[in-house]
Amino acid sequence: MERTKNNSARIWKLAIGLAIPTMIIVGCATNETRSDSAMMSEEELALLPEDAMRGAQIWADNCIRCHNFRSPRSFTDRQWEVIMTHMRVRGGLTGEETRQVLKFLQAAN
Amino acid sequence: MKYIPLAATALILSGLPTMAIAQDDEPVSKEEYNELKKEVEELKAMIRLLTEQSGKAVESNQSQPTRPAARPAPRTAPQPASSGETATEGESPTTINLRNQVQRANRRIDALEQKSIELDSAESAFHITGFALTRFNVPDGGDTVFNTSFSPVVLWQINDKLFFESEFEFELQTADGRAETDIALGYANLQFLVNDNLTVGVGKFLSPFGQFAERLHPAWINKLPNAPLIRGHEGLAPSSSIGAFVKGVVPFDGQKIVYTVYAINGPTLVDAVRDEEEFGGLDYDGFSSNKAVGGRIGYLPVPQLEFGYSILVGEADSDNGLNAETTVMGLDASYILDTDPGLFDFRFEYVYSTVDDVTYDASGAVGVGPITFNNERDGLYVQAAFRPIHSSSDFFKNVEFVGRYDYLSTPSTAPEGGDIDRWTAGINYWFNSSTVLKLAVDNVEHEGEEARQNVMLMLGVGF
Repeated sequence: MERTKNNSARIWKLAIGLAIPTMIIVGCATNETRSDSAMMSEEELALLPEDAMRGAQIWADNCIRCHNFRSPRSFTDRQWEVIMTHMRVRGGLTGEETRQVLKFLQAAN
Repeated sequence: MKYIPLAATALILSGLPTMAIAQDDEPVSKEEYNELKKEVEELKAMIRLLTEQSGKAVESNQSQPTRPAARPAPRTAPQPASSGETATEGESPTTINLRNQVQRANRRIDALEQKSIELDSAESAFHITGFALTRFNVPDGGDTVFNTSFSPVVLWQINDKLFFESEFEFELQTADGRAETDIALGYANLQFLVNDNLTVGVGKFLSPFGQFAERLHPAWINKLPNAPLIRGHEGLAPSSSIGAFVKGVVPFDGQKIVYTVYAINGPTLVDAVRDEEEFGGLDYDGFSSNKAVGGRIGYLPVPQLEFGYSILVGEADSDNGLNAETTVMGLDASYILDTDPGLFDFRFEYVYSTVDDVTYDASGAVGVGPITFNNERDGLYVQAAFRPIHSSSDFFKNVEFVGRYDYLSTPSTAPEGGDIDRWTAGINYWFNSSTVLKLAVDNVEHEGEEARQNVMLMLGVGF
């Protein structure tokens, strides 16, 4: 029992010991959220065509169900076409929703 | 002024390597094309400026013929004008040279643009995505386990109706002074998009049983370094299956029903000959001659909230010729809540499995039988995560806190059976939307044993 307590103490110390320097390192190494900075402003969104606007809403509602938003600028228009077909089946989107999201991604790209 | 030709020449030459990226017989990406176009536009602007300055210098020199030394001598001889290249009387050799360079660059751009259009209009397209991870697992009183893996996902849009997806898994794991490399095919299937709401697929596909296997397993999506107990090596639910599926969506009034129906190779029943630790468990990675059918139905009253029910029914066989009817059922739910403090992510999955009673090791040859037990198992996980994405701090908006409780209950009368309880707490730092550093500690308690802890450090990258 004593050994278990010692091991538990050691494991928590190790966790804290890893956490603190890790947070300091990553904090110093990054000073912006690239994903956020790559997103569109509200003014930019307002300039999108109607289909793309609907796509932006579908994109905002659905991608986050599983993962962080990927910036529209992460991939080319052609790559987004392939990715969105993949996501349509994986994420339970309709064909119409997929086309609208694609219009948004390509307009914002 | 004498530096203008030199500067212009250097400017042109500095642009040439980039222009050379695109050879006539190589495909050109849109990024390359746009980069080249931007450079040429900049060159044009610079040349216009230089030409104006050069023209002024010529006028100045013509008006002051007594100062020939002021006229700069070209550092490089003017290139001979090729077809389409023009020279206007009175222009300096430098200006002619620059204009010719620009004309050649414009012709190259036209060719690249044409190729880009051809590429964009191609019916078939590939894209490689996927994820990679590196993980340290430091168990309480044990040796550190290190593993790193690379999982490229190949997507192939054959045409508007046909789509192929495939994931390969390359993994290196070191433990106890040994290193092992595993290569596996995660999935590979061909999909036919019947219409806007229906897709049919065949091949090896991620199991639509619950949410984790199909949507959450990649290292940059799963919020903790470990997988829930109901998944993974000794899990209850399948991760992937070989067979055919029909997947559909029914949208109505802003709500949605999603469903999948599939027929697959049945699971195999693990007996003591094969693996005593998983005795009586179901293995979905084998190639059973039996078949199983299953499906999942999900209901999304709003996009951020989803409830699902899964079922899989079939016959399992074993290496020793056992056959048993099996039923596996599951419930799942997820809820994403964006609030002023930040983003909450809640997930829940429960799985129950039952296998008809059979007598294991009937002859007693393995040394554990004959033995019969009530082979019912269940398990769940509940997970919550919070990320202060609206924080004004660039640091804290990328920090995420995660907690998960899960358990797995196996028959206590079976060899190596009993319950497992586990708590996991983790903290993540997101470098960008698909690169995350995860640090977590778990506390695992096997029935009848002392609890053990593990520290896990993992870097996950999606690409």
